[in-house]
Amino acid sequence: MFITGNYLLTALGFAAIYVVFTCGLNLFMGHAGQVSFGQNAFAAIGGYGTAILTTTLDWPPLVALLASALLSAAVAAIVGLATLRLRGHYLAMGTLALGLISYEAAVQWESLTGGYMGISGIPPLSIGPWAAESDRQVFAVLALAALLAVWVTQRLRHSRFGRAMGALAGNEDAAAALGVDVAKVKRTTFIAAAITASIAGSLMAHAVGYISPEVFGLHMTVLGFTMLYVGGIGTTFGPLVGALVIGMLPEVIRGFRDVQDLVYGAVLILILIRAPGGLAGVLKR
Amino acid sequence: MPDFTLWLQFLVTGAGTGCVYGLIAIGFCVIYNASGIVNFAQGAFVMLGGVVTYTLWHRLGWPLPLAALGSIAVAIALGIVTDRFVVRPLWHRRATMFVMILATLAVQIVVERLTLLGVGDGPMSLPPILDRGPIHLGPVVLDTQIAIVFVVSLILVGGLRVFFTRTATGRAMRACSIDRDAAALLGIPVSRLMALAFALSGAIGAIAGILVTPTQYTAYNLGVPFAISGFIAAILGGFGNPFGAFLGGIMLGVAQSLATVAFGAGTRNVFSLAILLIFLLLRPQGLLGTEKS
Amino acid sequence: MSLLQVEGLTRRFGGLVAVNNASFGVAEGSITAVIGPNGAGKTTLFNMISGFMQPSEGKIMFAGESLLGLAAHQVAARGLVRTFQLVRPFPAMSIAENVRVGAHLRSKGGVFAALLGQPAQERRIAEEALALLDRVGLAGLGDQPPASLGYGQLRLLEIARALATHPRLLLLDEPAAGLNHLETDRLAALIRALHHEGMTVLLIEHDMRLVMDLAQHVVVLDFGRKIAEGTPAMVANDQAVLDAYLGGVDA
Repeated sequence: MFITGNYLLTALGFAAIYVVFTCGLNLFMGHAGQVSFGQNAFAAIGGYGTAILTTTLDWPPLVALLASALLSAAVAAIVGLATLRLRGHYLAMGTLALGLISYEAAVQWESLTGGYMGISGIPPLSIGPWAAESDRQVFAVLALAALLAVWVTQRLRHSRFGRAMGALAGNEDAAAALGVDVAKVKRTTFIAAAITASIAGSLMAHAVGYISPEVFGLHMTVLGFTMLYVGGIGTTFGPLVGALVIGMLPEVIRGFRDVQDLVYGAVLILILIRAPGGLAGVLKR
Repeated sequence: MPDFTLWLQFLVTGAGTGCVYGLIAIGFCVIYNASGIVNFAQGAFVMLGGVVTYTLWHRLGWPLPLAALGSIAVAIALGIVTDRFVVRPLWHRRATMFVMILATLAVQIVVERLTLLGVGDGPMSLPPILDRGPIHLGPVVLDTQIAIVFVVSLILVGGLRVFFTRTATGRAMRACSIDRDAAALLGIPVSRLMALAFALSGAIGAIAGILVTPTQYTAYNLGVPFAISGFIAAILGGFGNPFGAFLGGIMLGVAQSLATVAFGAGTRNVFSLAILLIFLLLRPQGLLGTEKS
Repeated sequence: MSLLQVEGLTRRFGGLVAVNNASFGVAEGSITAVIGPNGAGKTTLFNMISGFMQPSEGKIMFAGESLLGLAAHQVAARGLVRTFQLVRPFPAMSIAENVRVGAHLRSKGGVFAALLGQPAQERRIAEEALALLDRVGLAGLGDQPPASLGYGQLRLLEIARALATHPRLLLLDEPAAGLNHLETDRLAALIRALHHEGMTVLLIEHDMRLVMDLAQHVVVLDFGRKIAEGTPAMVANDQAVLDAYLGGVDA
């Protein structure tokens, strides 16, 4: 089975972007044991933010990316004040509502986002005179971002902060009894996940050159979860493995587009029922 | 400034849509009460109600009533399958509630996509059940279909009330919602009741879908928006209480209608979601609900 | 001088008064036990002292400072660290890492420090954790998951975790609950050793043998009120106490 040319790089690049997104998910939901169905909202902020700043205001892409990430962090801080107090399925639904509101905003706020038509002509990522224009250059940037995301998550996990996250996931009362400021750790992790999602969204915008509401919709949420669970939630390389495996599926199954989501959904169900620890969990046995 | 009758008109239309939301909300509550999980495949039942009826009637030539019954049967089957093959294994493994929601969401997506593959993505609609002109109630013009929605909903809600309060099975299901372990100790067949809850939810959802389709179109992807509206309605009315959820549906329908008039049609969904967030933050147990921890 | 002083502590739940005007002191370096029949309000008392619940009335002074209005993690930061009646290990972390969480208050650094790395601090924390595991009798088990431990060992893990915070006052909520005789003896030896090093211990307990053996000072609650206070011997002969424990106590 030999796949040559752009298809492979494109698929890998797409997977790399999702590695970044899923790492953020892994941080908040795997390591810290929380729930968020709405991370795609921050990807939307990152994607649309950088798209608007670079096309309408001609900002340098890197600056636009960072500015959007900062905006996402601010939104997460504010939103987190409210939603992080929720528990159980209320938290799930509250975060889902956020994700859905972001989709609605992307569709309805036409003057800003171009509605269903989206935004096109987004310039490629560049630092000074160097721009990532060829497929290879784009892939290089994305791969670097993916590896960075995995490295950062790993560093965070194996640190004092990581232990606090783990304690939060393990038992909130016991964590508090040991001096962990549970609310603050939740907030910080939520913001970190939001920044990560935002960067993923920005990368998507610059790599593809075009975005629309669909890109950051419920599909992204389900895809992220599928990758996270297939790879192994709460593990270091889970996001990487999951994104690669799931990201490569379109290459393996021809005529895949129509059945994409069907396969993702089915895979997710199977993984959740049979192997909730993901591939990493299976390998451990 | 639109005159009074126009507002009343919107109120009535909103209440009609609200009945449908209310039925979907009841579906959520029935499963939640029997199993403690939020079934995010609920929207699939609604979607199938409209789509299967249309397919059987329009493409296979079945008489309309039979097609409707067929779609209800399909929804019930889906409910039972979901319970048996997705929910039950997770439940026995004591999977976290998040995993359950995710799994049912995945079921929704799978069903959606299978439907797309099966019948395509064109919008489908059903003819009105009674082919008469609109009913005039004083200054208000009531579309016949909406009147039927009201009547059927009320009959259904009344029937459910009788079921839950007067029949042994219904009371057993209520016992499950209060304390599942105690119910099991009393010899109540909890897992069979869970299957029944899913079947019942499926039927109610399908009926909601059949009722709403003549007033608007349906398609493979209308499951999720309906599920969300139903969920919001359930939160508004109080998640543990099916009849409160129905009232929540009516309230949501009316609120949406008024928002459409006041702010324009595009804001409808954002408005609903904003209501959801406000309730989650300020009063998660809803207006009438009993909080199930 | 009392390290912990509780005055007029009261907690109401609607019409029910769970703790009613309780006052007592815990001397520094002592082992104090709170006993009483089931439902006497002992755990509610603990919850209030450790910041998991706010009192309806009363004062809590720790080392001369008021603890009122402080959140649980803030109380812990002051040096008052509790364990729980039903053990609560962090299941996804190894036993050694569980103990390392206890070093949270004795270390610094958030997200940015994590990215830069703190090798010296991490080494210190890891070594201390292993030493504590040795201390409580869980040597060599550091890499295992908590699921591999028996209940008595989990209790020891909780104590090791709490000790990692270097508390000034250790609050043990029914530490002997669910332990067999052997495990209880080991627990008692550990508490005695801590006491000899100057640790102040306040414990809730039902096991009278343990209380009589270990405690220097006993406070008795019944229906939320303090009905007796004194040395174990005094309390064991107090009529009110004997009445409260219908069926008596085999001292």
